[in-house]
Amino acid sequence: MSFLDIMRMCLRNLYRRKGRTMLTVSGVIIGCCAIVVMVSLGIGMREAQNEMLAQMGNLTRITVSPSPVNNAQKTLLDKKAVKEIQALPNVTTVIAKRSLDLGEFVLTTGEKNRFVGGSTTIIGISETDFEKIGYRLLEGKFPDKRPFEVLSGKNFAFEFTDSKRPEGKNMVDYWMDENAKPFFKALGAEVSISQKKEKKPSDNGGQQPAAGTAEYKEIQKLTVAGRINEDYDIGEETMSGLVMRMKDLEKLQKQLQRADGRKKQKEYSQILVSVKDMKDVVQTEEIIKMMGFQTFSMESIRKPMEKDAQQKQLMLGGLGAISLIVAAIGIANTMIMSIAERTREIGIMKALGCFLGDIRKEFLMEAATIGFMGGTVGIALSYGASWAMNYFSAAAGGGTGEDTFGMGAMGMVASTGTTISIIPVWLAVFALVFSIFIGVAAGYYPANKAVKISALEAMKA
Amino acid sequence: MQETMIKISDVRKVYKIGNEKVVALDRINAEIQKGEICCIFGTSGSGKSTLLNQLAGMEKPTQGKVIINKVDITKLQENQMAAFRQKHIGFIFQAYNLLPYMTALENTALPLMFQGYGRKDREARAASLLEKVGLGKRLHHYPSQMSGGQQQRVGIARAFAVSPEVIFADEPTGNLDTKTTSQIMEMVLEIAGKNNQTIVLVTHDPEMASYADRILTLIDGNIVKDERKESR
Repeated sequence: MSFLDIMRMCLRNLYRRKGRTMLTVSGVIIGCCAIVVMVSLGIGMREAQNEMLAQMGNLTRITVSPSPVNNAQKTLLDKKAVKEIQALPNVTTVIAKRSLDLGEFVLTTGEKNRFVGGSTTIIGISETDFEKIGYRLLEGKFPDKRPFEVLSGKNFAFEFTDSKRPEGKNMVDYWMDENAKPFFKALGAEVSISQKKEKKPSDNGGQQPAAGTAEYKEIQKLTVAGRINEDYDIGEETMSGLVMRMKDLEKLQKQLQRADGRKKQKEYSQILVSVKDMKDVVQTEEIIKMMGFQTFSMESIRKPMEKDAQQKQLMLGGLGAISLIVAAIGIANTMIMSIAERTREIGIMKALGCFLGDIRKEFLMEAATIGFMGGTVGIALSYGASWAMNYFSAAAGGGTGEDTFGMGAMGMVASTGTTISIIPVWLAVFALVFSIFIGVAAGYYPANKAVKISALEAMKA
Repeated sequence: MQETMIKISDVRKVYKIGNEKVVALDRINAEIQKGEICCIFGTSGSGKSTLLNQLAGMEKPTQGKVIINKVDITKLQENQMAAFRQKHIGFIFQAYNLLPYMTALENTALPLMFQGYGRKDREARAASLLEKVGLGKRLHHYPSQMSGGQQQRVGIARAFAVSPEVIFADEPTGNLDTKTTSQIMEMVLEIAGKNNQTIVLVTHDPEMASYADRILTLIDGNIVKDERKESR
């Protein structure tokens, strides 16, 4: 029997029992839909996670901090360490940051030191690294030859209090109001690092210093040459801190050392290491940890999240698979019924010389066709369901997907987007193949039963 | 010069029903010649149907050999038997045994389809056969749309479709009236005679037996009489 004839016969037999075929197919449709929709939700979840992580930070970066231990054997995060890390395989760039501890010094600006800064982060990096690290200028320029030119973080100016205004009204709240204007313009501002002069308590009755009355001794003047956009991934300095050239920072350090007698700072505060590929992160991070430093990378967040997502996906897929297995039992049942009804026909076919293999093939094909039809319709319905879910979740989600000014970088939005269900092509193909496979597997036992029917059935009057 | 078509030697068939053994065929020996119209005649329970089943390879005898066209069919595997049936054996059943969801044409072409003939070829042959049995106008009718006599004609066309050497007919007119019976039998004998095909006819009806050249009478699993008609 040719393949075409077997197929023709198979379709004819299925058509002969339309009602039963349709019911069996609907079982497969439900099973297929269940699998596809469940897995698509899992994929959507994972995708959203990755998107969120990518928003939170650079996935190929490892942030290295000094070891927290404090003893003689401690490995210092110094120039030597930077060189060693630079030499590791797969490491593309290494950027060292040194931070300046203000201690009892303050930042002041404006006429008569009217505006007083808070605990600002001050960072020094090599002047060749300004662009490499990923600072993005909002306005101004990167510091050039002139000494003590600095970059300010996006919200640097908001950190200053106006000493001429009363308590409670002396700061600009830029968290709630995105159009807020600071007291002074950061770009071009001259900021002094100053030492506050002690006043005798009797002068003010032990009260807070009255507005504009504090006196400061300037140690060093800084000029803001540019303002950079905030990027949580790079560091706090991009938000409300200052960035200067490493050599300027080291000079400043010495000045402060002279003023307050602090110890010399040997270690860098942080090193940003970039690797070639996301998959190199784990190994490189491990090596750096072995060197005795503290490390952080998105990988340490991504890994457990991914594992978790995988487990959920497996569970969801399993739930779907159960319904497809129930459908498979339906197929087997239908086929057994059909064979019981067609015992005589099968006997006749055998008596007329039909090969056993052809009979088996015909029944297997019937079962596979049920699987195929169920799979095809099921996938079509799944695409519909997936679209509907995404459509309604988008409608319900409204603006949460939008990156409101000043919020995105904080990772507060963690936008899951509006796509909660994704059906990639591989899933559709897999579902179809699996449905057909389930059909064939379910048809195997009935087909063998059919083959065993004796030709003598034809002789019964 | 006569040629042996079917050789039955020492065929014995014993069924076990519960703990009892029932001997359906005791010891059958016979030779049927090519082109012979041989009737296996007996009452019900005589073993004639069992003998037919052995001859057509539906079951294996407990003992003995059945040689058709020089092939010992008792030694064939199931698939070899199917292939052998496809080429050498035709069947005419008492209950017609047409497939209900196929037209007369498709039913007739069925054995050819099993052999792997293309649709055009096999349906051309089937159509010419149906023409011969007088159903040229009913090619696309389903069995349920035809009378018993017409259905059996389709059955006959199907039996001759592959031009087999041997045709087994099991009470082919058992369900038909006398007039139709004679029409059908004339038709079978005519087609078979033209191609010198052997026919093994199983019946309990003496009237039917009269169509045969040779009558083997079976009683309790033994051939008790072997009559030949001199002229046909």
